[in-house]
Amino acid sequence: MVSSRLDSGWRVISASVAGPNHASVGVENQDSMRTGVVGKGLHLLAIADGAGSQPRAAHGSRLSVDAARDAADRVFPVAPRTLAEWRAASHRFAAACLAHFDDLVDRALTPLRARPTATGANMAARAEFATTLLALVADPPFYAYVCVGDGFLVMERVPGGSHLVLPPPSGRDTASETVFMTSPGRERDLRYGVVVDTAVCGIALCTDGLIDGLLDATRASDGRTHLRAPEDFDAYFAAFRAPGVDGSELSRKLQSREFAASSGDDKTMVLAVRK
Amino acid sequence: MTIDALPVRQSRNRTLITLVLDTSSSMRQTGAIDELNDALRKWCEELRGNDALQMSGEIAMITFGKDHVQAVDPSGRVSGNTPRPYVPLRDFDPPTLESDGVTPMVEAIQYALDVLSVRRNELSAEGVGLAYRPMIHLITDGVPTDPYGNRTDRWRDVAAMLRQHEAGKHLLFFALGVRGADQAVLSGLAPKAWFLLEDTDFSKVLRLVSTSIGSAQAESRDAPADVIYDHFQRDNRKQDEMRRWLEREGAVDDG
Repeated sequence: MVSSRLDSGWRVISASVAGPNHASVGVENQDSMRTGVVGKGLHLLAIADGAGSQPRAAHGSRLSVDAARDAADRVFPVAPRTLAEWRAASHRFAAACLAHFDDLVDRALTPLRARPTATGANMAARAEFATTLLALVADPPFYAYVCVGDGFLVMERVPGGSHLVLPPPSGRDTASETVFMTSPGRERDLRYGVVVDTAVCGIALCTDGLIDGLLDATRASDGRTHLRAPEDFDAYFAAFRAPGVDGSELSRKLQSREFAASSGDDKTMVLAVRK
Repeated sequence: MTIDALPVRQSRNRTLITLVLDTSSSMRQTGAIDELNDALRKWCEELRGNDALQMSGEIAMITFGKDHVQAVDPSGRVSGNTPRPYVPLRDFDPPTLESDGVTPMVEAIQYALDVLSVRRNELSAEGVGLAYRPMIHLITDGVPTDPYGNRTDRWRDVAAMLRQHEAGKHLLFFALGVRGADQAVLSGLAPKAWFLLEDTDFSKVLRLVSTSIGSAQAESRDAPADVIYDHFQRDNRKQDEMRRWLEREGAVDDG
């Protein structure tokens, strides 16, 4: 069985649940996630959030995490050796995620457009697959990430606690439109890079349905709202680091009344904790 | 720490619901005001089952007719025009409405837009965002009138203003009429989101309000208003079909 260096000393737990808003009207969970070994000993963690307004959003989010897997396989057949190589690889990883996503969407569209409709032409469009993406390729102490949209990434350092490494866009009352993998201006919103830190002991990738439930907001002197990971975010890493805690408990937690009350959105979290 | 004890924060963002309610004399003549009061009380109880909405929701009630146009306190604590139109949904305890006078519907919609704008600004100043686009629901059994009770077409100006708010993704507007309301006015005010019932079943009207809230929540925050209205119409058809099926099976008690 192929394993990664993350597998040897870490534990990966993931859960994705439909939000009460979707569940109440019978709409499927439009989030997706994917984790697994990449190349020779690296590990991919990926989540995606399909746009609720689009009819093929759930399909789009699956294609988004599939694209991250394809891109990671292509860019990281072996681990980069230096920080410069990691940086270059993260750039290529971001570009490959977009390219593979476009390719997968095109392949999904071809049969749809060939399907006859009452009006003669099937107008299925790329925008119907609108989705975000947050993906991370880990080979501790190196972590290459790519993000389009409003997912967020928290990393725990010991010592140091939890930090919101990649925040979602804030100020939703006036926020510009969410940028999706299908958006024309997605390159402007594309965030990618490398974290190098030997003290990282926990990683959490989350979709925007968890923003209210997990993050604190503070108002800065400039009037803007800034999000941060609260001190007690560490408890999530600690809880699933503890021996004997079943990974399915994360799913149960995300389905709890507390989380349901915090947001009606779908909720997805991928946790990786150093044992 | 056990999994159950892991910390979860409460929703920071708000969902603003504004009911614009007809309390003109026609509501008394037909007994509709009593039906509306009953339906509001039942709806209030139903809403308590929606955890997410209870935590994020704020509601305002603008009435038109009795005492002209006013914001009544949705928690029932303040009588007359309240200086604080929006209250948390968990404090919603609808007061008994009374009916009288003409139908200043146009002024009521304008007032609703004003109080909504003030609340948005207050929340923004506090650093609180909106979970979903604000919604205004007009509920009426009549047609808009001037101060003398004569029918007025000034609603057309308000309709243009509503379209601007919708295009800017600042608002969703629903026009819900019962017997006596005018189809041309309802469809003019909310071309994609109007309903005219043949009776005065306000429970059904408030079910439409609930459905519209669910449709808005299920859509992306960035979706154009028309997309959300289409979603609302789909959800409503689906629920109607489900309800009819359950009624055939004898599983629904309308009381």
